[in-house]
Amino acid sequence: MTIFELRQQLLKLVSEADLPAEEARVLKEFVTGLQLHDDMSVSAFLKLLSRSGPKLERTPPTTSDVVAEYVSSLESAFRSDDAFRSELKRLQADRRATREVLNQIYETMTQRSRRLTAKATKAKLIQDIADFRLERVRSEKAAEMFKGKPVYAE
Amino acid sequence: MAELLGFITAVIGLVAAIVGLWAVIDGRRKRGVVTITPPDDQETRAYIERTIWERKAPKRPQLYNSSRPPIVSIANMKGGVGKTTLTANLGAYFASTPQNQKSLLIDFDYQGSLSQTVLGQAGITDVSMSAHHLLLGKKPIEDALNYAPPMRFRDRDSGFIRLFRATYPFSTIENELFVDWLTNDESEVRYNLLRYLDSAEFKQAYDIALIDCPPRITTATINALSASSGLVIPTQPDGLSIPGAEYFSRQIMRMREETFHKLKLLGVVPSITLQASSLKPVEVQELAELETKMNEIWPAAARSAGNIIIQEAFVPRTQPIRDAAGKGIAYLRDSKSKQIFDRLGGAVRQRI
Repeated sequence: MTIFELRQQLLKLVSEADLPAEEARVLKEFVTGLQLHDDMSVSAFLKLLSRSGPKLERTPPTTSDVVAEYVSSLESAFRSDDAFRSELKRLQADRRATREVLNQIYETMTQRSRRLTAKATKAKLIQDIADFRLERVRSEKAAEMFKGKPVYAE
Repeated sequence: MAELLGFITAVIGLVAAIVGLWAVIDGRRKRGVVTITPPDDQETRAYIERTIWERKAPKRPQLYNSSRPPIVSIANMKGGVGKTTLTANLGAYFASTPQNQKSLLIDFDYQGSLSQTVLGQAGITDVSMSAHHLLLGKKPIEDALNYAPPMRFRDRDSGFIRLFRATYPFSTIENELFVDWLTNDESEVRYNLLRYLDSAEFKQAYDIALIDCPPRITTATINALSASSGLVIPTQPDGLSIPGAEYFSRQIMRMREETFHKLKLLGVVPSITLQASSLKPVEVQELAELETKMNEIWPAAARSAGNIIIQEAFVPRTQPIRDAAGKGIAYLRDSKSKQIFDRLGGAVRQRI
């Protein structure tokens, strides 16, 4: 069966069924829209649909999307040791988190640029992110703790 | 004409005077006119040499003589010689396979660097303190241990680290205790830590205790030494640091007999050395001179350990060790650092 034949049958059904005016109009519009594929068989048309659907979903997100996603999630977990640790674990397990991505996450969070050296492993890059956060949060907490109190250096 | 001659003579005289004066100034500058004269009267010398902790005879408790797991103080009066780095990494060494020991780390330096290093390894940003409880002696023993829950960093190790933390207000507590001790005849604060470490609850909680001391002889330092069976003195093998190790040793020896006679020097560790592979000749020379002095100060240590300076287990200045400071433990982060501290840990373990 071709799309043309299917359309004829659907149009027949629509005209025979006692449908409300609005639904009948939408259905006719849809069936007419299939005109472009009249010469295709129904099975070929379905294959085309199944190919085009997932293809759209499979489009890999860009590096900047992954970086933005993680910068946002890491920053929202910043003040909680447990939440940040679990975000780091997620990052560690994510195959999209390449060395370049990790370096960009670090650069975005720290607002510092640096060269990605060959020696920098994924583990080391993740450690750098953890260390940056550790120092920042710790100094904020210390500032809160010592607020109003003199701190005597040695 | 006579006036002209007089004028020329005057100019020549002036120039000669300036040149002469300059020669005197320059000569003095080259010889170095600034000299420091040590106090030569007996009274002043005694005042400077005596430590403040000698003002009152110690009231050593009975439990001082009982047996307990090894307690090691890492101390020196010179700052920046690697006391904290050694404590953190030795703690990790003892807690790791195959030692798998229960390591109790006590941060007695109010700067809190050991606390930050160990907690950083666990990704913990807490900045509160708990080591002061061990000095104040007011917390019941069974409660005090809750302030130092066990931390395990790697699944493959069955040992763990407990940490008592410090931060800046710790110094105020030390001072308060010191003033109380000094002004109250009945007060004895030197064995407060010992009472905790000697308790049955604590003894079950640690196989080895390592205490990071501040670079001064404070209330915390005295408590650490009074509770310890061993002392490790890290020093950089250079002219700036070595006098610190020597002076510190002499101060300790003044108090040792009366206050903590069981304290034994385990060794002096050359730290932050110039190269990773071996010590430089200049460092070896500095250490040889220190060895002679230390043999004289610590004769018992010299007899039992052979060399006082643990030269074979030197800790070099490396990037990974430097990078980890305050953020994590190099031993657990980097394989070369692990080798360095395995070597040191093995040597210290032999001497305990």
